[in-house]
Amino acid sequence: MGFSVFRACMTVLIAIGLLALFIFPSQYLVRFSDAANETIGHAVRALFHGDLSAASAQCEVLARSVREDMPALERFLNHSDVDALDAAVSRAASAARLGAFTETLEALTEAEAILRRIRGIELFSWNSLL
Amino acid sequence: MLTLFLRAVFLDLFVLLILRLTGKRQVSDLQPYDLLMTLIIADLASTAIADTDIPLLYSIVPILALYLVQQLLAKLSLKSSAMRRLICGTPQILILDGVLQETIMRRTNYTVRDLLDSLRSKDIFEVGEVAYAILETNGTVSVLEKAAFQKPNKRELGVEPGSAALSHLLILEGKIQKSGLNTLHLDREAVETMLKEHGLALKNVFFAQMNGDGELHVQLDRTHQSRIYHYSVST
Repeated sequence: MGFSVFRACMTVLIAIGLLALFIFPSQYLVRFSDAANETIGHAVRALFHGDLSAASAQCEVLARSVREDMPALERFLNHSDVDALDAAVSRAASAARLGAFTETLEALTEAEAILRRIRGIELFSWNSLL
Repeated sequence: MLTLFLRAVFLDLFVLLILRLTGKRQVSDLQPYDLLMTLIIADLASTAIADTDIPLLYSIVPILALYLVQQLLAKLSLKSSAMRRLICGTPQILILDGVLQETIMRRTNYTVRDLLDSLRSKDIFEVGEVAYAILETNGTVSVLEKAAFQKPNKRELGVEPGSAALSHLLILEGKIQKSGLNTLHLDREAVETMLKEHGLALKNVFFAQMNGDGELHVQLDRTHQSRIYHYSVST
């Protein structure tokens, strides 16, 4: 009797825990990736307007935010994806500092692609399910 | 390296908890579905133990999902016999009144050799002695011998049956076992007195067991040549 009650309680707790894991990490990822994509957009627009210092500032903001969010992201995302994202935004920041238009754009595009991939893995869609 | 070690310890404890919660203790208790689930859980856990690139949640979430599904199916099986038949299958009669049921054996992929093995493991060497052999849903074969070949029991022979008293562990490696004392309603002093009466010291006892009829089986440790004593004591 005692163990059955314990098992029932554990099962309910597990179900609640799983529900929380379905909701909160994806919300966090959506918030993070939306903000990152917005910063990438600002950086790309600044690059195309020839404002390299503004692009560099946006890349620095992006690199800092990825570095700050890395520990949280690594709790529920594949570490190699998070490392690749960090490497891409760091490369973008360095290239922007040096005024290298093409390399900055390349690195930002790569960061955008990584963000799209991790969103595809973590957020539910029929395509990622199948 | 410490990370690998700690991940292994954590996941080992986690899998232990989940397997205890499923309530199955031996492989022979498992239905094929439960066995499959256990294997998948082991594989999921080992992936996250070995690969530190993967967050622990990548193993924990699927293991918890499998546990929930297993609990759900177990509940459904208890509530509905149709569901139980669907998940676990139904027992199949392989031998009926000494006759091998060829159609069922072919359907269940159970060979004659497998069946003869199972019968021999139950000390039955003649198919003709079997009234029923039933393939249970967990893969074991239950056998009912024909009345003429069944062993007579004590009641049928008119023999005094005695009691079917369970034995409880009382002493292990010189230490009195509390659980045994509680079950047998004894206290420490009573056990020590019992041993003293027979000239034995508690520290020299390797193993002692007592049944509900007060029969005490004592084996001394190897420094005392593992001598064995059997006493009837009044409790």
